[in-house]
Amino acid sequence: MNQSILHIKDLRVSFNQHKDKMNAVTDVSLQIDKGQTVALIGESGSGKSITSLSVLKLLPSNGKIEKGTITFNGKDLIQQSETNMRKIRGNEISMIFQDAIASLNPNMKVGVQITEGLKYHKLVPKSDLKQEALQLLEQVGFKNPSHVYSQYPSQLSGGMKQRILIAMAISCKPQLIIADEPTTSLDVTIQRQVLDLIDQYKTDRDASVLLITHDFGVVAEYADWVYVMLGGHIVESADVFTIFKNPVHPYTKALIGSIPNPENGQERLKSIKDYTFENVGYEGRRFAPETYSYESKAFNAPSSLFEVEPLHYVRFFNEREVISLG
Amino acid sequence: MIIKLMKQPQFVIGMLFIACLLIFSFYWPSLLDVNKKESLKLLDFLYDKDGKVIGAAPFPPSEIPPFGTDLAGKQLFYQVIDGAKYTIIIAIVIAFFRILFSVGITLLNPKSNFSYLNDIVQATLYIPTAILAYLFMNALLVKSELDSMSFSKLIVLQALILIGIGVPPLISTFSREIKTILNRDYIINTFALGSKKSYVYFKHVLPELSTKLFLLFAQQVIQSLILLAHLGVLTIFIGGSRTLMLGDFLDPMPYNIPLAGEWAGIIGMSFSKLQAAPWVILTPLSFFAITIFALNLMVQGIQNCLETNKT
Amino acid sequence: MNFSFHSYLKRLRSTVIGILIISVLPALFFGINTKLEQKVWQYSINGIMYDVFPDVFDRYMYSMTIFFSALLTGLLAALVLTFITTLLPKFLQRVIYGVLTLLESLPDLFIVVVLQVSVIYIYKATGILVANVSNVYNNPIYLLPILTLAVLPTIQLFKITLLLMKEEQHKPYVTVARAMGLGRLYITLKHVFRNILTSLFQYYKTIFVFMLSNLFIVEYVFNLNGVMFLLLNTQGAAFLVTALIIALPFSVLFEIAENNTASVDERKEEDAA
Repeated sequence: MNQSILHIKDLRVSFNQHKDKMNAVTDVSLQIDKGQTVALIGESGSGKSITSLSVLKLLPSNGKIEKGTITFNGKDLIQQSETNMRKIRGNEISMIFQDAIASLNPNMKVGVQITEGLKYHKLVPKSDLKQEALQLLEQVGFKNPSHVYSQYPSQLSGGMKQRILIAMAISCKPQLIIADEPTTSLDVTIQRQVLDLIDQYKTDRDASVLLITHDFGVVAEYADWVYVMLGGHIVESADVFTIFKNPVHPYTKALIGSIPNPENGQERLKSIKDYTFENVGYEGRRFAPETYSYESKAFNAPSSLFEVEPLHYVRFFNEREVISLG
Repeated sequence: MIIKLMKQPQFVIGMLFIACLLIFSFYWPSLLDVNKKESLKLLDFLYDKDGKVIGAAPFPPSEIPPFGTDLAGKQLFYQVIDGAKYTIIIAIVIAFFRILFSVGITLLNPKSNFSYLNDIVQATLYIPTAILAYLFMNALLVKSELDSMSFSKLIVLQALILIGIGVPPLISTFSREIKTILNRDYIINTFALGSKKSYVYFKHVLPELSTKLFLLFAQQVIQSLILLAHLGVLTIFIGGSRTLMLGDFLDPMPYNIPLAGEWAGIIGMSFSKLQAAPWVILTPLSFFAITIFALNLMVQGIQNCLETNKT
Repeated sequence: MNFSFHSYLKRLRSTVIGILIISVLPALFFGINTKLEQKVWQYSINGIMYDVFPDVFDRYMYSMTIFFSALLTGLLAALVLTFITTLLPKFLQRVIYGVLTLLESLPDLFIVVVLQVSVIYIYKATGILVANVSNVYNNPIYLLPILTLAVLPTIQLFKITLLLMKEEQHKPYVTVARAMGLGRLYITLKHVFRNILTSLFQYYKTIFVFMLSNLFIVEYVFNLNGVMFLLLNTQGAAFLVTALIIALPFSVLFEIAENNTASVDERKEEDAA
């Protein structure tokens, strides 16, 4: 069971912005095993989406992978040519995007859009495409697939569109699905339905899922392993039980603390004091434990991951801190 | 806003060009140190040293640089330079009054959607503006010949026609524009906080409209220039024309000379001779094209400015 | 295809009323033109009288042949040019965009005159008549007027499609398509171009009105027996009828186009909501 399907090692991605170079992702390492759901959690701007886009090599034109390796099924994706990448995209790794509304071509029937990948990768003969599309639609829970097939995206609701996107993503039977905040733009009532669909596919085909989210509730329900990301760094990683039982990094603690839990008799929602958006340049965008004052030198000091207990890694500035907090 | 516009290189280049052209057009006799009367006189024949005729008008640019002469032998270069001021000023005046009248009429009753004007706007979609203007101008010219109208009265009436043609579409543009502004959230907010109507119009609607007005003004100048050129081709001249007889007694050749020296007139009076003397048409036309290009640069600058305002 | 007969009637009424107002206004302002020898259903060109009927129908067909051929030529040329441009490097694309802005500000009259003069010049210099420059007897010419009329729409459409292309290429659905492993060429042809064509449809009115005005200049300069030339030389009732003959078919087109772009807009609004 412990067979790694995707292994990101020391990934660093930088962006050119107005002549400045900015690191969006710094030395991120991450591993996904076969059949696992791995959650990447963090606030917006923490580099989650950039990490996932790097896997497919779909970074915006001003973004660049500086160093690191991304190993997928034994192949280093960074070394692959664009032609080879095209064969991998959709086919072996597929992605579900957060903005379901804009992610479909408004002028194309959804049925046709679903099977585009199949058609392009020539996985299914042309005559069977429609049949395949109807099956996929049924698989993602549409009661009358033949009706939906010939509708335009504008005629569908947000949740329906997200399900269409899922149908697209699973159409080529990929081994890894990257779900980039698949429920953010949806009503709370539909979120569960969408996540269940992804989970269902995972169990059916023994595939893996990289679930990107900022919602610890979702993580608790679906993930096996959790990586917490902040300011382009992984700040804590462990299996889901450990993280909830014994969160170490202050940011993780704060995130878990912000889940409303009526059983605790907690009356007010906790909020996270926002250090990260105070415009102090990139190096300063690290969550510091409250023992550090904002201006202190240590705040900008280099930090690294420490193993606080077996397979539970936390980012600290130095060893002393590990002892004091861990 | 003006400071911002000055930072748009396109706007500055366009404006500098127009300004230079105007200044040059007003002061060219002293700037080039030539006699204005002398330079604009007719030059029917070219003589060699012994007084023999070696050529007759029109002269191509190769014989009389830089642009040659027109059919009557006037030097095109001086004509075009001298005509620039009339052309540009006429266009600016027309554009200005078009905007003024249409904003005035719209603000008189900003809630109305001017349905009776909509009919006219609908119809003008299918009738080219030049034909529309010709219709009125021709009727006016026939009348002016019958009534022997004074020069100034004719010019005013002609200007009114050219202004009037542009007003209905502008009114519908403005009423639409004002309505969208009034529907903005912050205007509704201002009303909700208890502002007076007049306050909202002067403090919010007009300032928001002002850049747009400037843009529309520049575009209207371009439109007026194009319309003038078209009318010139149709031998409708601003300020009317007088007929000059060229050729000999046996074969008299009536030749319309526009009274005001603007470019459209130069084009119009020899348009029928396009194939024989293309430079007579191409010179003023190129000036039209360059001026319009300069104005378009200004429009681009204003648009850039509007976009940066938004973000 | 949506078409509401009721709203078309409304548009029709307002068009007819508008043309009626325009055709009586000159007489109202400046009195009735007293060229007595001209009858109501006649028009004069160079002092010779012709009957409006049935000339107007032939002229209409001729003008519209030129109009729509030019429109098609322009559209095709613009799409092909856009496609070629997207294959070029970035800085060349910017250069092309700049040149287009420059060309766009050329007045229609300038282009018509320059083309006519240069065809004559080529003829004089080489003896090759690229195309007839004006109607010879009753043989109508097609090639040169169509090409001339197509120049400006080509430039405008080319510029619009380039802009739309730029906008469209950064939309999320393109990223989705790429994440599915589709090739760039496939995405450009299948997705981006399809959407550009739909968006282009929204500019139909600007283009049509602009081209009608150009058509008039082309007819006048090339001395074509077209309907615009007729419109120029008629007055009163004859003007009214000629204008209506031009306006009515176009108003049907506009109505259909407006109804269908409206539904595109609605779709967009729904998307935005």
